[in-house]
Amino acid sequence: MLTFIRDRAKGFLAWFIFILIVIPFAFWGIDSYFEGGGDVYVAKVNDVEIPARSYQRLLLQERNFRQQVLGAAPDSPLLDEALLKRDVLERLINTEAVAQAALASGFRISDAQLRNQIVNNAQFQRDGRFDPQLYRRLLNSLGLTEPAYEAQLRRDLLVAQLMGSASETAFVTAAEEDRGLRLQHQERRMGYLLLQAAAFLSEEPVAEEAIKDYYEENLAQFSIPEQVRVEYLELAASDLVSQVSVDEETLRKLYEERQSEFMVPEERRARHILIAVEEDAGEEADAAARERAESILKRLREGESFADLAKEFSDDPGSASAGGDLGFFGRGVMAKPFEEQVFAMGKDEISEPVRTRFGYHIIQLTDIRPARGRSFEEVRDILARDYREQKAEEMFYDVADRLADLTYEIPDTLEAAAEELDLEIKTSEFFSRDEGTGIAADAKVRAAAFNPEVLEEGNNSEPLTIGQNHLVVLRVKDRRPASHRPLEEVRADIAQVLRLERAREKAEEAGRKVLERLRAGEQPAEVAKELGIEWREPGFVKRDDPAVAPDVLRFAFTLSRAEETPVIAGRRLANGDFVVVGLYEVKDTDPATLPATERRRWRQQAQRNMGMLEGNAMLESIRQRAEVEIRQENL
Amino acid sequence: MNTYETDEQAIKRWWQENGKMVVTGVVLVLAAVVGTRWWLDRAETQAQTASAEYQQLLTELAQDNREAVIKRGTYLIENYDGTPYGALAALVLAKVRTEAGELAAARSRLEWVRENAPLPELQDLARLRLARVHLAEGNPQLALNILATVTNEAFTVLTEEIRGDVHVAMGNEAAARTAYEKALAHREPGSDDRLLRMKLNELGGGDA
Repeated sequence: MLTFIRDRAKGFLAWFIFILIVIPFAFWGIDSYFEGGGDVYVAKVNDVEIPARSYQRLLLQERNFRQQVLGAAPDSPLLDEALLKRDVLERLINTEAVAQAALASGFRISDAQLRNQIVNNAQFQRDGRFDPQLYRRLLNSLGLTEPAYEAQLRRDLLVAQLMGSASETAFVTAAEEDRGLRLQHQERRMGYLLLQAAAFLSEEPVAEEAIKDYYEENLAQFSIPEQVRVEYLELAASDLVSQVSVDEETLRKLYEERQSEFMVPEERRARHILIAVEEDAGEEADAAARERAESILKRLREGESFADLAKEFSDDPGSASAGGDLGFFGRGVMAKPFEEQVFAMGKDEISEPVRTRFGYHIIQLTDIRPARGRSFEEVRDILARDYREQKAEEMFYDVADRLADLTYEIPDTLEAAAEELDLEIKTSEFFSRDEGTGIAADAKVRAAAFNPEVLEEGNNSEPLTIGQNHLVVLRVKDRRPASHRPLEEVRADIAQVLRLERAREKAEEAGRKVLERLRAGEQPAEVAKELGIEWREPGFVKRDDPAVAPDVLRFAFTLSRAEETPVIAGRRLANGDFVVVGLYEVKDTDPATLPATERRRWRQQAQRNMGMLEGNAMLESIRQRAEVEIRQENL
Repeated sequence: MNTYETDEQAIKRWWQENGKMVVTGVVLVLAAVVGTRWWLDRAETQAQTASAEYQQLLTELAQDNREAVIKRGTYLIENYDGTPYGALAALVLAKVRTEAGELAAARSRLEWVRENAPLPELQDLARLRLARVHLAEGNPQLALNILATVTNEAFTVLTEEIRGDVHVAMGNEAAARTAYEKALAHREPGSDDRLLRMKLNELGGGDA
């Protein structure tokens, strides 16, 4: 090495190498040399990895949030695992992309801003003030260190600042406001009639041919997924407890070993008279309180009743009325100087005044309950229970090991393991990949049963942990291939669907005829009467008029005002009914006549919407600029 | 080279020959490093100060304290134009000016953001708002010209809706309808598109 330096160190090369080595340390410190890399990640955004840990944590949080805060039912699409995962991953990627864009373009969050955010967070406050201990405890309970949380928070603030730059500064121009309000408050004079599909429903039989065609065209609707039934061995520590025998001698020995656990520590009973004085009350007040305590002590020594004096003078409202009595207490309950005094004195003795942060106490010890051990008989059941559980757990691990070995070595049957370990081979109900009952309610069990090694090759599964000290090993017993509910079973349902569809078509057909007649100039009310229904004329209506069904209203407001009135139009509504609408007049509202509150409400809403659209566009653009790689296999 | 020379002697001799240069070099490198760090630290401090100022500006905006907003906003633009907060402050001022009907003043702020924002998305944001201010001023042609410069497809929903508004103002109903339809097609499901639908319906387009 030295030869190398001697030979080469003369020229520019030496300088070059020297600088190359020095610069990175000067800028980034030694840390960056040893950090990073190697962790499992779910996605990479411009070379920054999103660790699987963050993903899993957010996934858990989000699932809880949707279940508990949004109250989503288990089968709600909100809890669909694939969608949930996608949402969470998208959010992580978007946040990372935005954070990077923000940093790169010079966004920063100062320490003061960060501190403000933390101390003003109500979760970290006690009695309206920031409590550092509470802060630390909360973070610990979430498995976070302070620096990690603060770095995370700083990033969140950065992202919020960039994303907020659109919504905070969004505006609506006066022209836009006027136009929007004019549209929003437009009034239209209309009339309409409804041809209800239900009125056209007939019990006329549906052609067998049509049912068959429908069945074949919509086969997917009637599909039943592939199902399996498994045999399994179940091993639970709780089942082993009863097999553990326990004898008197063992229990005696355990009692010896654990005797210290069964000790009840010494407790003392005392009464006191408190002369309250604050710790920082000043010398004068302190001396006065002390003097007062001395004088009371003197009267006690002269034989006056402790209880009476406590009632008269003690500033401790809790005990004064009880003659100063505090009841029995152990160590670690009272203020330290108080405790030391109580546990140092003899029975019935009266102490000199003792200073605590509450003031001066005169204490009398009234009773002692010495430390004692609980007898063997008292704790025998506890000992036996603990012993059984512990032994069962040990047995569980041994048996589980043996079970794993046996089912792995002899992969095409469970019988060998069942016999040797004296376990019963149980059989499950049929279940599909996505749902099941019994042990198949556990997603792990379903996944294992449908794993190709188990399903296709007929091997035993690995031991699957389905609870604490509780596992199963399974193998597929029967398979039911994916199939469809037979036509027989669904015939009646299909017939009903087709009858409904027929009724809708008839309603539409009748509706179209009405349209023609009205366009030809016939009186709507007459035509309706002929059909036995009503032509309604609610007069001028607004977009949100409660007198008219919303879908009818929406349709009436889509009719072009450019055409000559009356405009007669019809359409099939989502529920299959057919509506015929006549539009007679459109009246614009002058926005200036609207109340100021309504104008403000509209403006704020429009501003929010505008800000949201702008923010979304920015996010989408930033996301598109980022180079994203997703590791599907780590999700 | 003397073959009997030991390593130690060699180092000593090397040092005599090159010592001065080594010392100078080390000093120079250290100076460069310290200088760069100082410069970076200063930029960092500046950005953080600007960030806090901007946060304060937002608070004043939320309190509707117009005078304070204009004062602090102008200060940020003048002193922190090297940070994104200059641009953000200009966006805030553009909002305040627009809401007060001072459209020319709003326009010049937005034009500044368009030219100076350090993030392309902020520039596009400024362009779209600029087009709307032009429209509010009664200059639809200028608005169209600006919309033509927004090529980022992530902004299509907005670009097209504004283009539709401009065409309505110019009396081009067919072009307006096409633009609104395009905007509607790009809307994310679940977004509040009632206003857009109203605009489209008004032209006899769109569905219920």
